[in-house]
Amino acid sequence: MNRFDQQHRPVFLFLLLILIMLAMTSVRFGAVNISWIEILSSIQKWIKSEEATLSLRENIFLQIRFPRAILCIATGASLAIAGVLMQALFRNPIVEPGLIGTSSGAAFGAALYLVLGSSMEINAGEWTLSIAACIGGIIATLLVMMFANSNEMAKSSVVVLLLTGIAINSLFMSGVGFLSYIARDPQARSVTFWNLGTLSGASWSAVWVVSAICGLCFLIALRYSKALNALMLGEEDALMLGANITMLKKNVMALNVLLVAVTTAFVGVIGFVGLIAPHLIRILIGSDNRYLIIGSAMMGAILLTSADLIARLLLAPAELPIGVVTSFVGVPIFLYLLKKRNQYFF
Amino acid sequence: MLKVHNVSYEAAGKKILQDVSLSLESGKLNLILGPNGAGKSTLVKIFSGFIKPTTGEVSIGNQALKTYVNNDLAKMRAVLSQQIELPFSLKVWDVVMMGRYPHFHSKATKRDFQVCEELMKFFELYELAERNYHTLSGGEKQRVQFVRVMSQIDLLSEDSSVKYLILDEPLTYLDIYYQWHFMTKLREILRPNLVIVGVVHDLNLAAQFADNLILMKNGKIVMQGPPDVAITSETLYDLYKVKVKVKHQDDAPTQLIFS
Repeated sequence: MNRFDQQHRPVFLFLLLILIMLAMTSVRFGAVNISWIEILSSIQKWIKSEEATLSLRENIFLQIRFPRAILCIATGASLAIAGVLMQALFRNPIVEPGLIGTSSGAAFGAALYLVLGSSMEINAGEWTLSIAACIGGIIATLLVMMFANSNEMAKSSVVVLLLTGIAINSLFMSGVGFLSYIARDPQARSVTFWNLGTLSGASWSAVWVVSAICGLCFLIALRYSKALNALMLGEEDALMLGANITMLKKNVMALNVLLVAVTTAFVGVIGFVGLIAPHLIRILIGSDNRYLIIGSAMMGAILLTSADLIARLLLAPAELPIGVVTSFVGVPIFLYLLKKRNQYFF
Repeated sequence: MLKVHNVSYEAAGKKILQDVSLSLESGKLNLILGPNGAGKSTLVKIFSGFIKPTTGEVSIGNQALKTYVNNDLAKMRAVLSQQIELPFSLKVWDVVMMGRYPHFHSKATKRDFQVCEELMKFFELYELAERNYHTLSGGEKQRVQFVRVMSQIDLLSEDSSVKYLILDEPLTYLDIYYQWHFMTKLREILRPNLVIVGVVHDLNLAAQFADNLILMKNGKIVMQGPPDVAITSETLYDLYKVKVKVKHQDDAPTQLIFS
C-alpha cells in the first residue's frame, strides 16, 4: 500500500548507480592515473595498516583522491539539502542556500584571515581558515535573522527576511571586495580562488567533519519533510494541519546555516548546486519533500563530483576552480530540462 | 460547539472586530454574510486560531482554543483558506493526502489512502487524482483543497466525536454548477456532530442552504437567525446598501430580485 514509496525507487537506484560510477572514475583519473589494482592494493594495505609499504600512486589514492571524492559527495549533498530546505521554507523556487547571508559571511571570514591573518598573528593550525569562514557565516546569518525579526509588524515575514538577506549579502561581499583590493597579489589570488571554491585541500579530517554534519542534517531534514510539504499550502494552512511553524522556521534555518557554513568553511563558496539540484529532482520525481531531500542529496553529489572531475581533467595537470565548472555542467542540463518539462515550474 | 465571547481584534490601530460574541451549534450550517471589510475573514481566522483576539475568549468544545495542542486540534478542526496556489508542483493525490498529515507519523496508512480515495470520489474529483496540480484550473484547485480539508477531519467516517469545518469563501473560484454541487454536498455531510461555519457572498445560495445566518457590518454582528428572518429587504439594504426584493416561499427556494 506504500503507493509513494516504491514509485521513486528506480530513480533513486539510477542516481545511486551514476554517483558510484562517477566517484569510481573520479578516484582513477587526474593528473596521475591510478589503476584498479593499485586502488585495491592500497585499500588492502590500509585495512591491514601497512601504510609504510604504500607506493606513490597508492598514497595519492589514499591521501588525496579518496578523501577528495568523499568530500565532493558530502559537500554536494549538503548544498543540495540546504537548497531544498530554503526553497521549501521560503516557498520560492529561485531561492538558494546562500540567501540568508551564510556563504557571503563565510567568504568574508575567510578573506579576513587570508588577507589580514598573517599580520594579526592569529593561528589555530590547519583549521584556522575553516574556523574563520564558519564563524563569518554564522555571524552574517545571525545578523540577517536579527534585523529581519526587529520589524515588529512583519515579524518572521518571508519578504523581510529575503530582503534583509540580500542587503547583508551585499554588505559582506563588498567587504570581501575591499579586502581583496587592499591585499597583496598572492593574497588577493587566494581570496579569488576561495570564492570560486576548491576541493584541492581535501583531507581526511575535513571529510569526517563535513560528512558527519551532512549525515546529521540529512536525517533531521527528513524529519521535517512532512511539515515542509504542508508549508507549500501557505503558513496558515500548514498551521491548521498541526505543523509548528515557528519552530520549523527556526530549526530549518539552523540546519541551513550548519550545512552551508561548514561546507563553505572547507571548500570555499560553491554556488548553483544548491539551487539547481533540487529542481533537477523535482523534474524527475516531483516536489514531495520526503523524496526530494533524498534525491537532491544524490543529485548534488553527482553534480559536484562531475564538476570536480572536469575541473581536474580539463587543463590537467593544472586545476580549474570548481565554482567555474559547476555552472558549465549544471546550466545546460538545467536549461534543457526547463525547456522540456517546464510545467513543473509554472 | 464553537464559541467566541466578547472578542475584539485590532491591527495597526484599526478596530477590525468589536466585542463579538457568537456561539455555533453542531449539526447546523452556519454562514456569515456581510460587505467587504466587515471583519468576516478575521472572525473566521479567530475561530481557526490563526490569529489571536486582542481581547476576549475563543473556545472549541468546552475548552479554550489556546489550551489545545496544535496537532490534536488539527485532527478535529479543518480550515479552508482562500489560498489555493502551490509554489511547487504536486500530484492532486499528494495534495489531498496532506489532509491526513495530522493522523500519521511518517508513512500514510491504508486507512489514510482509503479516506482520501472515498472523499475524492464523493466530491467527483477522482478522475483528477493523478493530474499535476499546476495544470488545474482555479475551480479545480479549490475543489482539491476542499477534499484535502474534508479528509483532514474524515467527514465520511462514522466517528462520533465532534468535528469542526471552517470555510473562508469556499465558492470563489467555482462555476455555478460546482457552487451548487458544493453546497449540496455540504448538506449531505452535515451530521449532528459536525459544526460548519463559512463565509459566502452569494445571497441566493446562503438563503437556500444555511440553517443559521450571521450578518456582519463594521466589525460587529448586526443580526443572526434562520434565512427567512435574516434575509429581508431591510437587512440587506442595511448591509450592502442595495435594494433587493425578497420572496420567501414555503415549498421553493427564496427568491432575491435586485433592482
